[in-house]
Formats: sequence, structure tokens, C-alpha cells
Amino acid sequence: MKQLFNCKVVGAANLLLAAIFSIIILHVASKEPALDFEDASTFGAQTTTVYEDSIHCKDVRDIEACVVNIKPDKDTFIWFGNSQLHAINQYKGGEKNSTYYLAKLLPFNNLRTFSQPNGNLQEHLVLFEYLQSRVNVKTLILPVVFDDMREAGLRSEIAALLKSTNQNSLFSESEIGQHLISNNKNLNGGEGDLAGLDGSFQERVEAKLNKYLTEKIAIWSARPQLRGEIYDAMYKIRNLVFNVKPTSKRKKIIGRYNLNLKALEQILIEANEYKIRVVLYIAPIKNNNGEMPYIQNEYMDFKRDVLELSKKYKTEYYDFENLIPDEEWGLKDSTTGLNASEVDFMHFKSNGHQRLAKKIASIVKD
Amino acid sequence: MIFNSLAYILFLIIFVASYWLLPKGISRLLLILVFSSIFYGFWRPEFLLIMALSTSLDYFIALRIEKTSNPKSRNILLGISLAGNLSVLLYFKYLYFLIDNSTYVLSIFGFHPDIRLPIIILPLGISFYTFEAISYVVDVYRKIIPAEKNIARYASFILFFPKLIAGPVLRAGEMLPQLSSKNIFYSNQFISGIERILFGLFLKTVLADNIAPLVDAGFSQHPNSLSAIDVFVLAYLFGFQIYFDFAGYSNIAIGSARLIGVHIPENFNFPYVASSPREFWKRWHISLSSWIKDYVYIPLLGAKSPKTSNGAAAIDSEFDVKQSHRPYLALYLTWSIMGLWHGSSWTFLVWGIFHALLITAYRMASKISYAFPMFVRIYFGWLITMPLIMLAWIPFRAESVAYAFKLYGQLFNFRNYFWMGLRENAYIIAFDLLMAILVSYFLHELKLKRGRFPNLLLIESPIKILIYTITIVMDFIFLRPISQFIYFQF
Repeated sequence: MKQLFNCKVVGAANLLLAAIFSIIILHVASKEPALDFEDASTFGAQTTTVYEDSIHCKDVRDIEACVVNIKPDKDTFIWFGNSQLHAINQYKGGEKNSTYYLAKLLPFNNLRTFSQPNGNLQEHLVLFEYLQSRVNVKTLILPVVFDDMREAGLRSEIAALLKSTNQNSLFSESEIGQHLISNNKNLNGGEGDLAGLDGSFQERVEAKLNKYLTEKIAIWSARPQLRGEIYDAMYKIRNLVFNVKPTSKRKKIIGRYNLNLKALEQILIEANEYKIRVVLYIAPIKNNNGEMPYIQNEYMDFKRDVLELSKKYKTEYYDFENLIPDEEWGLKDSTTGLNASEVDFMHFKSNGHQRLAKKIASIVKD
Repeated sequence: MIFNSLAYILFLIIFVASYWLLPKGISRLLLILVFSSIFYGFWRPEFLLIMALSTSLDYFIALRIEKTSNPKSRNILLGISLAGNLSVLLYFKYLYFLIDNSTYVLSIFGFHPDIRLPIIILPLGISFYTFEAISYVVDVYRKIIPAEKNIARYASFILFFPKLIAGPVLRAGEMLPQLSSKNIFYSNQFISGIERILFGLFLKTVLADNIAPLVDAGFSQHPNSLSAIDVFVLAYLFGFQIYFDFAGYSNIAIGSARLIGVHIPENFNFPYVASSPREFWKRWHISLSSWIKDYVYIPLLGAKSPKTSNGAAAIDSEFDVKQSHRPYLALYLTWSIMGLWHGSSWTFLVWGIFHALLITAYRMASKISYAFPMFVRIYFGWLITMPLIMLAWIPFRAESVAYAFKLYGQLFNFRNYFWMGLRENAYIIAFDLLMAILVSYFLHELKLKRGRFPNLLLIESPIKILIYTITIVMDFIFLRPISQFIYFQF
């Protein structure tokens, strides 16, 4: 028996069988319907991403296309945010998001919305720096979300905008600007999946091989999707093991919080310098019978910090925490993938979007 | 060319097929030379010229050393070779560092020289192949090995692509005979080569590349925003990242060589189960630590040179200590060199000195520890060694010495043990990886003892198929040259 198992044939057969099983697994997995993993709010069937093509900049990689048709003689309104601006709970065909409604209410103005899932204030700062030097920005509508104060760093497509930053700008000379530039200084190398090849001859070969395989082999082209599914599965397992629920308290992460606060301050400094009106608001959050996913003291400190900054830089400050009534908030898919729908603190139904847009329109029209 | 890429897999398939199709002898050596040049040329072909020059110099000098019996001439020839190799290393790797620090020191005394240096690009793998070349000439000088007569064979040893860019640091004595022998195809060796490549890719693309963003985010934070627990967690995470990254590379190198019947010695052996700093260096980057022992530490101790040259024998930090009048000077100098070998930065020097301090402390503590039973020494030793080794990685990863010391400073404030400043996932992942390493070590030990458990043999095949399947699927999904191997920069 021992000899049998040690023989070379068994070794080769093991490897061959594993290869066959792998192909079957990959083939089956790649047949699953594709999800947009870049947009965490699209997880599950309860929450739907809706973009208004002409005014809602979905992909920052194509930022030039987003701003190219902005009329230079018109004042431009810029709205930054996270998935709250583009995700609709319990979506029914044809429903619209807040960007659409706000644009309708501001018919003679140029509105552009830039929303990224979990977009943090450091990313908003880089986007703001990029846009204010290219577009005649009149008003910046800027939600501040406690959840996003826990985020850090720049996603690669936003970090790429740093390449065009003026070295003598207020941004480049600021502490937070220097922090962001120094932490993203490897931008001249390759990007994305080929970043390790750093502009070498191999990068061209690799890109061609990749293109060829993507076109010819379905399971190869499904790889980004499969990676997303693995991360999603790990996220759900973590939630299950640690009993993470929508109501679980998200603690303040001090380092990230301070960086985001500095980024906010820098936005306000630059907006003052360039005479750009800023409409700063605390983003709506579902009041789940007073049960929030944050530690009450930390959340109150956060609101106070934002308010103090707005006072310091004489910026308009609005607290929309309770703007959206309970019935306009929706449900989202289970955090663990096992339970029924769960309360969603961040995204609302279409009528919630309408309400938010109306409120903002009433402010910016003044 | 980097291993975690499609281009390398295609390259390797063509190379291995051609190797076995060619007749035994010089044609296979030439094939290794051509493919190794292509492998290196994928990055910067112009640096092949530097390699060709230094390879030729060492080849001819080794032949002259062998022919010469006059000790003075032999010393001069050895000196020329060392000067040639070290000056190339000095120019490409340390010139900026030396000039920067010299100008800084001069500026203190009021001198402000305007030194303008050209842009110097560090050739990949220079530290590795320079050390291999030095060991070859020194071994010939010490009469441990004969000088290689065939320049194609010697060049194949230096350029051998699986280990060219990030080691292991091989010895001519163990490699040249393998390149001389008429290798025969053994299917079990071939399968084991594939296994090692799959496993290495898993370590790099699935583990190391996915830990990297957590480490990068942590080390970009202001030190004051990190608690003492965070400093430990970051140190552990980077320790895991560099281990998976480098062990991944070494596995792919070993596997690639094995496909053509060449055996490269192991470079790692579960380093994070070490129960002392001394044991750690028997398990971590074994080829470098043994090189440093043979060619730096022992000469600095003033002890007798070894009679063999074996890259698999790890550094023994207590080697011949009693024979030497300057054990601590030798120890600290060796570790300074070890640190600076990794890069021209004070951070690497601090890392080296940290390890020297650990070994010093271990030498002192070991006298007392023998009073305790073996299992206490092992488990208690591991509990102390592991966090210290991990903390030593901080200067290795930090942007500056000041940043590293600020992180260390966080450890000495008692209040910093009661809050946390990283994303929750960082703690979970660090813990999971630690558990995974321990479990895989115990499974490995169990595998070694499987003869004692005959029933295990019955399930060995299904388990292997399961592990292979998971590895193949994950490698396929995550294979992308999203980052270089960390040791490429050394």
C-alpha cells in the first residue's frame, strides 16, 4: 500500500486530478452573474446603483469625459459624496437618485456629482484640487459622513489625479497635501494589475498576453469577478464569525479621522481662497429608534468638530442627520449572507433621494 | 522578468521543454545562458554588460589563483577580484548614501561641497550575484573548490535565472557540479518542482500581495495615531508579508530549478516558530546567513576558515566565539554589514543592530535558561522571540529611522495599550495568519512523522488533491504582477 501511494504515477495523477477539478470549479464559478464589486452598495438585490450619465461621474478614471461638456461660462455646482448619492434601496424601474432631482431643480446650472463607495474626505480633497483648477466651480456641496472618516488612502484612479497637481499650489504646500503626495509617489510606475512591472519591456508583453487570454478564455476574463467574490465571501464569513450586524458600533479610528479632518479643513481653506461657496452638511443617517451604528459620544464629537471647522472658515453648515423620515429608508441584504434583509443606515429609497435634493436645492438657490 | 506573471510561466514552459529536448552537454548550458539573459533583459538589457564584465573578471582571476602558488600573488589576485566586485556594488548601491552622508557631515563643519551625481539605477539582483561571485573566488582561493575551466558553465552559475534576482545566494561548489552533470529527467522531481512553483505563487499572489495594502496603510499613518497594540500588529503584518513574499520567491526559484533537475537548497524553514534569535537565523534566509557566517563573521572573529562551502548550513551566531578575542565586535560588525547589504539606508543598519542586540541578549539569557526544562525553553523562548523578531522588522519597513523610533516610542507609554487605531480587519488578519503559520507548521511536522500513523497514508492522496486544487484555483485567480518581490530592491 505504502509503495503504491509513493509511486510516481500517484504523484502525477494527484496533480492532474487537481488541475481538472480546478478547471471545473473555475468554469462553474465564472458562470455566476457578474456583480460590480467596486460598488459595495450593489451587494445583493435590495440596493441598486443608479447613475445619471450626463451629470453623475461614475468612473473617475474618465474624469475628463465628466467635465468636458461643462459650459465654461456657467457657474458649476460640484457635489461630492459616497454611495448615498447613487444607491437606491428597493429600487423600482425608472426611479431616480438625488443627483437627477437636484439637476432638475437647478436647470440653468452645471451640476456634476462625483460619488464613490466609501469616498473619504482625502479623496474629495484631491478631486476638488483637480476640478477647481479646470472648471469654474461656484459651489461645492459636501456631505460629511462619520463612516467615511474611518477610511484612508486614495483609490488608484483618484491618486492618479495627483500627477497633474501644481507643485506650488496651496494643496501641495499643505501638510495633508504633502502627506497624500508622499504616500502616492509611486504613480509613475505601472498601474493596476501590472503595477509591479514598472514600465519595463515585460509590461508590454504582459499586457498583450493578458489581452489575448481575456479575449480567448472565458475563465481568464472572469478573474476580477472571482477575486471580488472571494473578498465578498471573506467579508461575510468575518461578519458571521464576529457577529457583525448593521447596528454593530463602528469606532472612530483616530489616525484616519484626523487625516480626514485635515483634508476637510484644507478643502475649506482652498474654497475660501478661490471664493467658492461650500455647502457643508452632516449626511442623513437612519434614526433606528435612537440606535446608531456609532458610539454616541464619538458621533457627537465628530459633529462638533465639523461645526467648529465650518465656523472657523465661515462655511455654511447643515445637519441633515434626521432629514429623511423612517419610511423613506430601505432595507439591504444581510451582512452575513444568511439572514433576512437588514436595516440600512446609509442608503434610502428614491423618495428619500428626492427629499435630499429638494433640501439642497432650497439652500443653494438662495 | 518577475515570477508572478504570465510572461514568466510561458517563458518557463518554453525553457523547460527546450532543455529536455536538447542533447546533454554544452547545448543545455548555452540554453541556460540564453534564457537567463532574456530573463534579465526583460527588465534592462544594458545591465547584462556589467554582469558579463564582472563574470569574466572573476572567471579569469579564479583560474590564475588556482595556477599560482605564490601566496603574495594569490592575495593580490583575490584583492583585485574583491575590489572589482565590491566597487561595482559600491557604485550602484551605496554611492548616493555615502555622498549624502559625507556632505551632511561636512556641512556640520561649514563645508558645502556641490557634488552632482548622475542618475544611478540599481541593477536588479546585484547584491545576490556579487556575493555569489565573491564566494566563488574566495572558495577557489581557500582551495575548497577547483576553478571552473568552462566559462559557459561558470556564467550559467552566475546568471542562472531562477535565483538571479533575489537568491537564494548559491555556492559554486554546490551548483557547478549540477550544471556539469548530465541531468536525467525524473518525474517525481518534476512534479515536486511544479508543486513548489504553485505553492510559491500562492504565498506571493494570494497572501503577500493582499497583506501589502494593510501594511502600506499602517506605515503611512502618523506614529501618534497608532497605539502600542497597533505597532505590534503592524510589525507582525509586515513580518508575514515579507516572509510570504520572499519565501514565495524562493519556492518558485527552487521549483523552477527542479524542473530541469537542479537542486537549490532551502532558504526558509518555518522561521516564525523559532524559539531563539539564533534559531531564527537557522530558519530565515538561510543562504544569506550562511554566506555571512562563512565570508564575514568567521574572518572577523579571526577563527579558522571552514573547509567546506555549504549554503545550506545556517549561521551559527555562537560559532567559535570562545576562540576569538573580539566576539562582540565581530558580531556587531557582521550584523551591520548584514543590515547594509539589504539597502543603503540607516534603517537597515538599525535592523541589523537590533538583531545583534537580540543575539547578545540571547547569549546572556541562555546561561540561565538551561536551568529550565526543554519544553519551557522552547515555548517560553518562542513567546519572547517571536514578538521581538517582529518588532525588528519595523526599521526594515519604515521610511526613516526617526519614524521607526517614534513607533517604538509608542510601546513605552502604558496608556497606548488601551486603544486601537487600525481598521478592525488588520487585527483579524494578523491573528488569522499567525494561527495559519502555526497550524501549517504542526501539519508539516505531522507529515514528517506520517510513517508512525499508517492510516494517514490512506487519506494523503485526497488531501493532496484538495490542497493542489485550492492552490491552483487561487493562483489562477490572483496571478498578476501587481507588485514586485520585496527583495528585488536589495
